[in-house]
Amino acid sequence: MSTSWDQLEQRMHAVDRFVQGEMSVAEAEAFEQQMSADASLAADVAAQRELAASLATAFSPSPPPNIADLPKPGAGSGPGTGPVLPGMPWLWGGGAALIGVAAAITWFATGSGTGAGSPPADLATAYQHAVAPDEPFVPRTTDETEFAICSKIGHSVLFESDEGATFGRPGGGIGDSTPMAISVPMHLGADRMLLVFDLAHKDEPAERVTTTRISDTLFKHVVVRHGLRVTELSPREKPAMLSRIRVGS
Amino acid sequence: MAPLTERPRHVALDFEAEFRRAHTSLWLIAAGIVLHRSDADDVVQEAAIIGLQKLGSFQPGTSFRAWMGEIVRNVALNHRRGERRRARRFGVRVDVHETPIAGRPDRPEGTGLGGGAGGAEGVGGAAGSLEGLREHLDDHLAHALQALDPIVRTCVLLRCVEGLSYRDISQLMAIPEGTAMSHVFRGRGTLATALTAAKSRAGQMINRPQRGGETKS
Repeated sequence: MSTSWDQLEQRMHAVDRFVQGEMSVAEAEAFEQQMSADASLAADVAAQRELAASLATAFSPSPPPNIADLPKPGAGSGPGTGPVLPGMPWLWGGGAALIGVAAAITWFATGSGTGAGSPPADLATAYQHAVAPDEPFVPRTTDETEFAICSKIGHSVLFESDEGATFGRPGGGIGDSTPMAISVPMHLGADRMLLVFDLAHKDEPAERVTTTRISDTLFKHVVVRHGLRVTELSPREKPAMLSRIRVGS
Repeated sequence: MAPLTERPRHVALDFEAEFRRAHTSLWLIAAGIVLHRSDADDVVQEAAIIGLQKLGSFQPGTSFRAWMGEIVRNVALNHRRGERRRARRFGVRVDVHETPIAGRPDRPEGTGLGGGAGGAEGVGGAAGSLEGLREHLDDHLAHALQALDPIVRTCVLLRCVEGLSYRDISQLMAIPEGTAMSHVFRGRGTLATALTAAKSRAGQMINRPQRGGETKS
């Protein structure tokens, strides 16, 4: 027996509404009678119910994020000791949740928010003494594009970098962005640094950042010496980590 | 003097309440597109952060769920594209902390239909690993889910799991109502067929006679 497309569509629609409980009582009773006379219709309903149950089990939503804990403008948290950057009043209280790279780096570098400047002396000191005493300190300019985001969250500092490998090239020593990377958390009194590497920017698999490579440099020179915890994250892991930090677990 | 950026407290409270109300839909959109539980969690949270930042652009009186739905969709599709890009370059997921999900010989990767709304080009491997979801799904159903276009899959989830009306689905997914209905029927038909095939195979396995002399110690 052939069934026209319209009939098929009506049947699918009816099954759909019945399974979803969208029929009126009278409609549902009529449909049940129809099912008792049509085994294939009953089978369709059973199949849809089974499918819905399977999907509902597998796709039971996770709990929603705690909105109050998310970084948002005007709701930063932190020790409340940082300087205020003119023109960016959401830094009031020193608890900026998210700040842009240029402003952030400028702030760190100059403390005044008036454009690119020289890194403060203790950054150079940090580099010289903590990282590479034998290497000349060559500060990078403050408009580094590799720091896409730099944020202070609680006692952690978040870096996003599309050149994560510069933090720890195997055998290559320490990248010239390292002094900035290690000094900023120290400036802010952070005890943890989160490095977010956007690996999609890496063209060569050989340049993948691995824990080992980071360990070779940052961990050895910075963490051990200064007690700064470093956690490397993929971009995907960042929001979850932010959430965990914010809730203090 | 009050800080200039102090936002009215009720704005944040409203956002939180509205977000909680819409969360199931938003999470299903994210899960339907990325097909990965923790990725979906990340996407929803990222979208919440963006929503908070862009709260000023929300038009009062319009649907908050639809507004957030658009953000979640965009974040999820961007995430998916990023994952695919990574997979193309590196061949596997390269998250520092994540162990790549092992492929299965009976589950070919990259068998997506693709080409649908949102620029889906294929699934499996790069995205849609079903991590955190697979344990509750029959293999055939899991494979069928992976093979569905993400937008079709999301429409099915919104209908079957949350029981949204087609009007709501069309609003959330920014597609015509008829398209939403068509997506649901088509996707659900595919999935139901997979489920039936799974049951049929299971029946064959049960009825298959055991080979003689094969013993396990």
